Amino acid sequence: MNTPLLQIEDLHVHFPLAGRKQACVRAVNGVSFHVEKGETLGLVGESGCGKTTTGRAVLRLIEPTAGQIFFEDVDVRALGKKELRQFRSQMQIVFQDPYASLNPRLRVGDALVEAMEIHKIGSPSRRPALAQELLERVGLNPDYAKRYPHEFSGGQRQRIGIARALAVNPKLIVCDEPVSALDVSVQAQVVNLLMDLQEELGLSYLFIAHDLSVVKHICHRVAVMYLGRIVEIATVDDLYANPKHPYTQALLSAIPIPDPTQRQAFVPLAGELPSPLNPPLGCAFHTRCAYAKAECREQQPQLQAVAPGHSVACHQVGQCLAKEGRAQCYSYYDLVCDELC
Amino acid sequence: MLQLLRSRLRRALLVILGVSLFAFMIVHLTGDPATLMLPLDATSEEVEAFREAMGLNDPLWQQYLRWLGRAVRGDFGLSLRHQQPALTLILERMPATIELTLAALGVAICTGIPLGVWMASRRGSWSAFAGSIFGLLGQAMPVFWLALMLQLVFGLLIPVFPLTGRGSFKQLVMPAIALGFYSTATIMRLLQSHMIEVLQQDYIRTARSKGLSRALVILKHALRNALLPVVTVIGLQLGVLLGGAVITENIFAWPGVGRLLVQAINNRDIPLVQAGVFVIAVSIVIINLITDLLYTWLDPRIRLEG
Amino acid sequence: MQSVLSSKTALFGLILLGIVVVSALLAPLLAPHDPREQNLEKRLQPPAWMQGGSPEHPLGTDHLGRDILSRIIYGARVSLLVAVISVAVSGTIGTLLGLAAGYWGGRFDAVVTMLADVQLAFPFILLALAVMSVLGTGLRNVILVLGVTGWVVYTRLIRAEVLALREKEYIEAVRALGQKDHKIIWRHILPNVLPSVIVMASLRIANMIIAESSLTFMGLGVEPHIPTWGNMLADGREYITNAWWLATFPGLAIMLTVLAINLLGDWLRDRLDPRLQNSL
Repeated sequence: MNTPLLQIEDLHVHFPLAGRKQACVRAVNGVSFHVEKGETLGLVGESGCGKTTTGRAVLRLIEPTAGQIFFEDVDVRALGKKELRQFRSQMQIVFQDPYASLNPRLRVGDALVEAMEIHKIGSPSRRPALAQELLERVGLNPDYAKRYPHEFSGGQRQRIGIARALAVNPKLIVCDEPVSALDVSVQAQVVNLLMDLQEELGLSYLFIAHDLSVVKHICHRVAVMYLGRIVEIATVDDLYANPKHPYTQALLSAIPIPDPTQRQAFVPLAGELPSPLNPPLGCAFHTRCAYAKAECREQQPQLQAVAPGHSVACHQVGQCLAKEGRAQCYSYYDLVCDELC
Repeated sequence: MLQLLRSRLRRALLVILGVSLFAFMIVHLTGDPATLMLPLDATSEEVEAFREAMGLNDPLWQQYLRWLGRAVRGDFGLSLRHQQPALTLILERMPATIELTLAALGVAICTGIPLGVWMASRRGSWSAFAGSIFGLLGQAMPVFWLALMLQLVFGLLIPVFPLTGRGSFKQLVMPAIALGFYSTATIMRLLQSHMIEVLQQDYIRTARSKGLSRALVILKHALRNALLPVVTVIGLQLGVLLGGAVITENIFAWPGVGRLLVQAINNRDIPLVQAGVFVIAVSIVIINLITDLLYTWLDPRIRLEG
Repeated sequence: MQSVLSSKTALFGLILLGIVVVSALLAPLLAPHDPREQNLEKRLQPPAWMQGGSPEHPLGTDHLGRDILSRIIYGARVSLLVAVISVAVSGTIGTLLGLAAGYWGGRFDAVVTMLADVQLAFPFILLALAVMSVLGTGLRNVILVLGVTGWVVYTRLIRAEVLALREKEYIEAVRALGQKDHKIIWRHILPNVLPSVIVMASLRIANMIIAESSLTFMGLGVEPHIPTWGNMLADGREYITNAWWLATFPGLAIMLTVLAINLLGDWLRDRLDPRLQNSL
């Protein structure tokens, strides 16, 4: 087995709170995953679960508190200031808000040329032409290089943001909810663009989203985050067909299905997301979980494999595994049924 | 809230420490305090003796610590001219300055707030236009010139008020108006723009549609919300007024700290200048602290977070 | 309606300021007399329209028989010179400090914020008076004192704006591209805070004119032999009981100049940076 493109081990990001000495927000609290070359890993969860912070920390736009980040053979956290700047061409980011992600006082072409300047891509005289090629590649008129951001629609701006990321020939792009601010009709276009680019250039994506339907379309594997931790990670087919964690099930049941005959049981999520400032002890999800037991309130569950490439952090699922002694556990409903019987 | 109070207090203390360093450093700006304080014809032996006596040959930080140590106990040294403790001289003049500053603030609040409300409610009319010109001129007039013009008109042409001095209420009127006028204009313009903003809010329309009278809506609903930012500005104005008092006191021969300080500056009476500057700066730090806390207390949004 | 009104007032301000600037630039051509020329026989002559006045001295003469109109015209030079240079100096210092404090934060920011708090504890005029008394009077020192002590307002404004800008995704994007900090500040942050700097600087010119004339009036500013509005007022104060015009006209000159600048500054603010409306 060859080494993955990106390997994250036990990543922590804690934000100190002003005025209080010991207290801090544990936005990311021990997250591990990897991304293969040419793969798209989805990172989903409610807002405030730490998925955006994880994306920023991987790029060291926010400094991680602890943990390891390996990109190919590079220990990203060990890079010095200057080395990091040079390394940045390897990993890029596309942002959520297309209206905040472009400098209003910079022509689109100049923004792309600036990116190439930083990493000395192309000769200075050829860069404007390269910028036009980039615009064409993301499906925009090359003449748009002379325009300012305010002259574009949200979808067009997002394409420009993608072009800026592509300008430095990255291997991995962190897509931070790249389509959630767009109209539904435009969303599909941008997602298709990302998929086409992946095929053409062999890119890898870390695709952050709160919308599970988009994730299903573009991702190969999906990690579900809750309060700074990954609670379930699996291939996209496995996760959608056979979700194990009660939280994943709740998220999936919230997706509207356009076929009325296929209506599935709706698993409601009770209550609010607890504050990451004061996360519940034990399993962080127990305050909202319909099936929480005593041990869920006391002990934190670890991720454990339930099938090849499918891991879940849930005591109940783990017990089921132990009890039945089988390689594959049923979904949570079956498990509850077992309990009831 | 207690935590907020503690952090603000700590901050204020740090600022006062910085203020003390600056008050101390004033003398050393040109390098040699001895030449500043001694008459020009002092012999070099006299200068050296003075240096030795004042400890001016020690390292600067030692001098500062010594100075600070005494200042904490209220000892800023003897005024070179009056041969009395500098702090006592300053504190003796303090009541006059406080009287003038508060009177000016009173003038500013009692005229600025009603004018601001009135102009916001009469938006677009000629009287509001006249009011805004009044406000613009008020902010464009230097304090000392307004003071001179008041003396000219109400002291000489139509002699209603005495030109200078302190003692009677009549003597307070002109200095208070001269000093407070700029603040009147500031409060008026600020309140006007906030009121106009508030009056466009949905809850004002709701109140009006409930059938409340226009006057009641303006005074009860709009003013309360528009006044909040004005509170901060009033606190800041108090600092501005204390500064302006330095000039006003001189023109009206008002026997306050400002007048004493300018005399001290002209006489190069360094201990007196240091004491005066320090006392005024500390007063302003305290005023700002109180304003800050008052604002927090008044604004329920901040109060909850704190 | 509102915009027409504001542009009308802005136009008025522009004309008024234009007159002042032209007077300053062309003072030798416009002034009817040498501002320093004394004529004791014609001392304290009232303005032309009053009894005893003569058309030779439209605004009268001072206690040394010098022409008041000419002195006001020449005074515009000093006032504008001091104000423009000190605003340039303080604006540059303040903006740089604000950019650095806002962008890097941390200890440097804490020190700058503390310095600003300390300086704000001193009333501006008192600080300037005290420093002037130590440094000594004179045009150069006035510019120095006003220039060095005026940075706080810019630093506070720019720091707050940079803090907000830092969170913008386009700044994060250039950081993710590996751009150097000083280039991010220069290319992406400075252009976005420049409108605020310009608005603030224009309004501060008015403050500086008042500050200079106040210092000079108190005898701790520009040298007494240079014709300035502050010096004229200081002279006029002595003669207020018998010659009102000495103190009235230079004050009017200050007031109208400051008014013109404020009108233009307000207009600029509305055009460039409406958010500033309630923070000044």
